[in-house]
Amino acid sequence: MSLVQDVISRLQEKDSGQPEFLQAVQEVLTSLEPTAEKHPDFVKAKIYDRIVIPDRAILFRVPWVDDSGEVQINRGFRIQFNNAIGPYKGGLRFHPSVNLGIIKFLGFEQIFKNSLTTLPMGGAKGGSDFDPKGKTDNEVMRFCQAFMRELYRHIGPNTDVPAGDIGVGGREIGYLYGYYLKIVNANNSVLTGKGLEYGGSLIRPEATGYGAVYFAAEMLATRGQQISGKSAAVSGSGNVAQYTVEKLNQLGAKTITLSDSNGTIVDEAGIDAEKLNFVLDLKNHRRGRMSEYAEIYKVPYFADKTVWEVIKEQNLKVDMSFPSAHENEIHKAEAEAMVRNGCTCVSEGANMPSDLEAVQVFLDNHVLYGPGKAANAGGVAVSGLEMSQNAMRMSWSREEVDQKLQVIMKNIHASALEASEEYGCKGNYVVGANIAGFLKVAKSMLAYGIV
Amino acid sequence: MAVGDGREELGGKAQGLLSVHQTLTELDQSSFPEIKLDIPKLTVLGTSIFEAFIQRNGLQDIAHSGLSDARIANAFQRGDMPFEALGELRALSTTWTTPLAVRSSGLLEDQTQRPFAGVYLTKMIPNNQPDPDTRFAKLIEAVKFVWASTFFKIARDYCQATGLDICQEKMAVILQEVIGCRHQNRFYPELSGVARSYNFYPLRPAKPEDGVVNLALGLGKTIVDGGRCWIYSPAYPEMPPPYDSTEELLKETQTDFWMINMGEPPEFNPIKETEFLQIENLMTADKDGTLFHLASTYDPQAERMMIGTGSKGIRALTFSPLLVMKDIPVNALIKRMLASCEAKLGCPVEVEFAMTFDPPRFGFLQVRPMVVPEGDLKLTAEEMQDPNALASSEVVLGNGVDDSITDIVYVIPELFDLKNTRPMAEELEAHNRRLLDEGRSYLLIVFGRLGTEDSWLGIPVTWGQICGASVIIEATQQNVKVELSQGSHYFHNIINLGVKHFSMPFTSPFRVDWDWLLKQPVANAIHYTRHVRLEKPLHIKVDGRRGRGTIHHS
Repeated sequence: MSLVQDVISRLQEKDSGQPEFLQAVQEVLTSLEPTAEKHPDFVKAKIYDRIVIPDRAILFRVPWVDDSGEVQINRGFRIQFNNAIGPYKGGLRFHPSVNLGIIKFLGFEQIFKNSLTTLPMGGAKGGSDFDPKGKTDNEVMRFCQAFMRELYRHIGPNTDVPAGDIGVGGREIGYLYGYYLKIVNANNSVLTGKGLEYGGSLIRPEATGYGAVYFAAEMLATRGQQISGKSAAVSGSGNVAQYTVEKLNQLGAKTITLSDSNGTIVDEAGIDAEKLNFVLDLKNHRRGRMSEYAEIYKVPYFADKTVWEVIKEQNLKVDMSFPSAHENEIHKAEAEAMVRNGCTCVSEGANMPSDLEAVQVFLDNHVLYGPGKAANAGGVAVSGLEMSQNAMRMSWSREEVDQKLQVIMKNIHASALEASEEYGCKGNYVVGANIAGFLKVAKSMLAYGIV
Repeated sequence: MAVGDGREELGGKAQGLLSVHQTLTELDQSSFPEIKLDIPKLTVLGTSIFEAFIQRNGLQDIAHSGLSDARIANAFQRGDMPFEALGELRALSTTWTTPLAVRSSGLLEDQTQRPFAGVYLTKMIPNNQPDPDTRFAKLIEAVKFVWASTFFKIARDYCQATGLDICQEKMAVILQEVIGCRHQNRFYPELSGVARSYNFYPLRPAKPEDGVVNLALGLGKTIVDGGRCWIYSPAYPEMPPPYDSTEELLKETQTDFWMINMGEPPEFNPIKETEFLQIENLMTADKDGTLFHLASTYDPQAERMMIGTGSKGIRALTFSPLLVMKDIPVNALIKRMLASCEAKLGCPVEVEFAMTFDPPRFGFLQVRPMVVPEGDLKLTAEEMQDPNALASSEVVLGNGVDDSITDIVYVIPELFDLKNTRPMAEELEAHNRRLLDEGRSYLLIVFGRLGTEDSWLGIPVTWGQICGASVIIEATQQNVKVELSQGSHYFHNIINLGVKHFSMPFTSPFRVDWDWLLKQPVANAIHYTRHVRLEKPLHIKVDGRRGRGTIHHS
């Protein structure tokens, strides 16, 4: 049996009731198998066995009183998985699906995501099976306060800095931080995702879209090319897509597609700043459909088609693609059509928008393929920058944050590329990203000895 | 008020208003001193005028001919208005110069206690032309259009489906002032609402008898047409609908509203219900200053929703200034009004209203009794545990009996694994599309939390992928003991379409009778899912009062 299988089978004995966690471990460790051959010291120090067990798992009860005066009880979790390279960092999720296995799965993945940003952040995750759906503001506040009543003793600016996740947005972060201040009486940076007025960072909404473009620019640079003058297909029309187009415009590219759940528009003249303003107004304020764009600017509209289906059916030529809509939007046939129509660079703003077969098509055809875990790390990166600003007691300007984001994306790219080279598959950012994230943590753990 | 005499002359809606008129005047308004409560001024054109119109113009044949709606409407437009109504209508056109709603008030509506909402049509007219002759002509056109709608296809189908004889129908018409304010060429109420004192789709902790309220900006057409509106329980006004996230709230709340176009209509078309109506976007209302009591503002930078419109950002119609801040005690008034009308009519009621806020005026538009079947829907323990029960549950949304369903789509229990819920969603869509094409509604049986975005919790389908299901069972088994959605992911569609929704949590004593179901002949099978067609329809019975239901096979 392989090393990975050994680790997994040992884990299965102990954690059999956590299928999501076991699957994540299997996927990550399988991709890391080559590192074991190059680093026998990792095997000797049992890094692979150690990295799959959290530093500690904190489970607690969260009693609170609903609006009708009834006592409600939820379960709270904080899995502090690994702090080898920095304070624990990872989101809090409030959702009825939350259980120990899911939080462990998310916390485990967070170790490598955070490490890849090249910022000093360890991996953690937490949350509760509380369902914010249908709860009043007061109920959400009372729950957040009850949650923080226990969590506060386990977090700190140098220990553990949670952020938001599903069910935990600006409102919840505000309630959590407000209560922390009340009971600890110290304005510590113990949460990120805070409001601008009390320690939040600029550029947070823009970060993922901007980051995906910066990552693409770095990939292109390896072939002596640049973004300027190239055509781009962008899918979606939400936050990530909007800021992707904005950054592409700033860098001199021409975006020719956008989409929503009803269909896709193709504007071969390019979605310039004025048209993008129309899209921002349409999607953010009026909450209308992209078909209105087609009516106003007299461009083709393809109802019920994704951007990638339109590329396939219309043989639309694009140099770069930025999937920014949702999971599994690109399948094998669409990936083949993209390659056929001249797409040489794919940078994923969404999480896992390309299925496994599509990814293989990109790799087989030497497309510069930036997987989501690297290309959309801009969001996590800005969380890290919020911590830095809080620690310095300073607030950077938009330009400063944007500049630092660009540097981080450059570093992420460089470390993924370097790892891919070191492991004999230069330019394969999928392998590179997995290995680069792991190596930094593993080497730190090795340095600390058996602790 | 009425042209003609006798209660029967008035038709259902007008009689409803008459019967609660006294109740409204008796309603203790001391708790709501700042709100002016009234029934907007109205007059009723009695059923005898309708009969005279049909007879004297020889319209009986075409009315019952089954011809297209446009043909019937055109024939009615050509008819002459009975002379006995002309004087009153002319006088009304001379004195009333604000927008009017011309509403149907059918006799069957009252006699049968059946809801005819959305069956007969209402026409809104701006009634603002300077020339009284033009106003008069437009009013007459609208009345004839509403009369014609008695015989439109939807009304014929409805009568057929409910066993009513359309030949017995006599239509009175209510001419009623529209509550609203003018903003340039736009006239609309700031708030429209439909309140029901009984709710077959209560979301915990609300109970059926707590009732339910739908609120919308602009004309009530948004609500009547099943558009996006704010749904809440008057017992828990601060409890928002069960949206997953702020993004979902922004996506699912109302963004467009109906208003009366006070300018030139885009086309002359007296046989179009929306001839003088127009849809506008929320941003127009923001410019009109009509969101003050209705909206919250989303700040994308702070990722939070703030009550009111005091700051810049994205507006969302949450009605929080009214329901949370209680700027104006609208919810308290609605509760009081529902209780009074219920006491007066002796049964659960449905009330339509409209409001303006400067100054606060609450216009009571309609009241109708709600049909809440009692006796025969009561489910006994024996029925629930009957050997022929395919499924039973004590957590059911909806109400009534359905004996028409012969198609069942289900996920094969032994193949269900949370790892594979995404391909299952695609398979369900394929079954749904095929059954929709065949025009067959079906029973859908799935495992886990239906419609979740988290595929580890259940099948992540959108409503469009299962929209043909008229009954849904969310079941559990050993490998999927998750908390069920209980319809919350699609609550708006489920309510509007009257879908019956069964939740069968793992802790419940009931299970789907898979032994029986797996033996039924398969009409279509994909990998994880099957479609079976039964020879005899299922007997589906839901007791909405107690939230229990059972499905029996024969």
